[in-house]
Amino acid sequence: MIPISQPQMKRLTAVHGWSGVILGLLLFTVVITGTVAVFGDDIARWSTGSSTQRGIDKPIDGIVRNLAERLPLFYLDDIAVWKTDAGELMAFFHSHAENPATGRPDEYGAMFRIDPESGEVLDRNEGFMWKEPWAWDPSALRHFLVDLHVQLYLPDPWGLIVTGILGLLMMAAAVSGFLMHRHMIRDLFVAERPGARLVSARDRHVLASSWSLPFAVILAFTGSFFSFASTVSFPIVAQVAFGGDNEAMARTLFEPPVVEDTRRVRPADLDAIRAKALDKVGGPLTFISIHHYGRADARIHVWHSAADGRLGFTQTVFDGAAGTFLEVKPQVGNKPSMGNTIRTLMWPLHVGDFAGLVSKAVWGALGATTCFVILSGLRRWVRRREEEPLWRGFGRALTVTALGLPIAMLASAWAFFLALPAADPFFWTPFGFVAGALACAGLGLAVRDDGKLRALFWRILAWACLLLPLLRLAAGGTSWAEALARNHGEVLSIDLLLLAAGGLMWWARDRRRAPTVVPQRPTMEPAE
Amino acid sequence: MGTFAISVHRPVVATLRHAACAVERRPLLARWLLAGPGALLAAVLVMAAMPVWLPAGAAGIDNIVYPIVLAPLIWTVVFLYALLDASLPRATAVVLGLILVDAILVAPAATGALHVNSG
Repeated sequence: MIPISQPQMKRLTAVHGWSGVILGLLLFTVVITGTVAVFGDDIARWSTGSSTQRGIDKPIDGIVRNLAERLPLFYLDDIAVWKTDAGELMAFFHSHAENPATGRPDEYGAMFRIDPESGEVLDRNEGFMWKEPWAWDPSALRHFLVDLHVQLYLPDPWGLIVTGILGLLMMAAAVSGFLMHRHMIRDLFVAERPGARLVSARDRHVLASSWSLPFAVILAFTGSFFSFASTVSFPIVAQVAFGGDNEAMARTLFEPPVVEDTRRVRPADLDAIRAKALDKVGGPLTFISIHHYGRADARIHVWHSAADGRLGFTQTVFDGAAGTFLEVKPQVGNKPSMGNTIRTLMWPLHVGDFAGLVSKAVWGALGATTCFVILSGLRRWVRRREEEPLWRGFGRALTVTALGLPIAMLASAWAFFLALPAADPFFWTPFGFVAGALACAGLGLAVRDDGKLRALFWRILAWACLLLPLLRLAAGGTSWAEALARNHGEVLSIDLLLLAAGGLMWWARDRRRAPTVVPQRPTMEPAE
Repeated sequence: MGTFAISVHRPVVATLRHAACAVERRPLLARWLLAGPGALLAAVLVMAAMPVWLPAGAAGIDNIVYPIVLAPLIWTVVFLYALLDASLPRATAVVLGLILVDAILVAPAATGALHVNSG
């Protein structure tokens, strides 16, 4: 493909191989959890038993107005309104204050969980509420799985920095792999050579990586961007461009200029604004943000998610006093620009939600393919060195991670449903993951035979999938009859997927028994 | 003047040759340093310097959005260049040059002496 000298090929091979060996298992963790996180909203609806779309499609003006009248003016600085995956309306009335836990400015206020039909307040909590996911995220399972992908459940900002580094590693591995291809077009159609030889493993790795290469580069690039943007890039650029004033940079990027006018006025009708927003851009409306509610300089930002040919989020801005439409605001800046266009593409390219279930299915499939690429590459590395105890041990770690991680993720789902009736799912869900991971690691140490270990893991995976829908029902989840009656598609489809996956894994368990690795002793030569 | 130029030129060339030989004597270490911390530092400084020289664009923000969005790509390009350039002295000169030029561009702005964008 691209002429590469032998020394260059050696360096590329070293980078491609060793970067994979050193960080490949962590990268696999990020990719497999990312593959699951693509369906995060669907998992949230399945786990809460509701398929409510998150569009704000019921009247909210009366609800917000009644709540605002009972709150101090401090809380009316900013209001966020959205709907959860469980179908409940959330309203967060807040301003900014220093968070004593972090020493940094944070959003402090009163958060309400509301029945959207009756307007009844179901729950009220006060504090730095974005730090309390139990108050606004109905699915601890989705929250944990997404957090595991985004920052490996490590504290801020270290988790993001680690996943950012892994994204760079994936870029390096993908591009070095591309450069190492001598015959890219041919490799798209390479047929696996028979005999389970090392070259057969190479063929599978090459085929999968060739087809998923553009996807790998896009995901690595966008993933690194998201990880480094807030932790590294934004502060550095703010230091250079704004003398370190992060807030000034944030205002330049995200807030349209507004002349201050603190006179109290009657707020505009939010439902009229919703109708105008739908008319201007189309639905669904997933988030409404109101700045300076009840003031003459109030502004209302309405967020429209991807639909009807829109790739990413669209934002319409309205005068919060007069109710008039002001503009379709770019995501960054106050005018359309190439910088905004590129920034807008990053989210839909990373999560694949721009065309509903179809694009998510494609992204999920490519994510699974990337997992196979990572594992097959590592497996090939181990097979070339299987005579050395160190690499046999690494091979064992590879098996435990490749099969143990999905088991641990299923264990987190089990813990979620077991905790749902009477305990705190936000505590027990990650606990379940850790318990599952430790159990798999323990089995990896206890079961010496590779084939038996794999078969055991496949059995555990199969049963964990097959029984999970039953556990969900036993924990008070939506029944299939109710799901069909109320058109809760996710409840039925994910249950069926789990049953199908469990059945397939049970059927495949003995067919996947790996050849037992026996280290070859060098043949003794007769003494001369 | 010509004599002065020669008297400056010869030691500079000798120093550069000496540096090139030093790099070529330890190729593995040089490659590691270039593609590792060298590429990282160069990428960070290239990103940091972009607000200084990039046009702000119609919305006045391109010079701050592009470096944030392109940061991973900048590192990948610098890393692969440092890895693949057959000539180690040349690769060293390019990476060090990138670091030096961008550090000079960044220094006044980073210390607050030069405001690139107004808040």
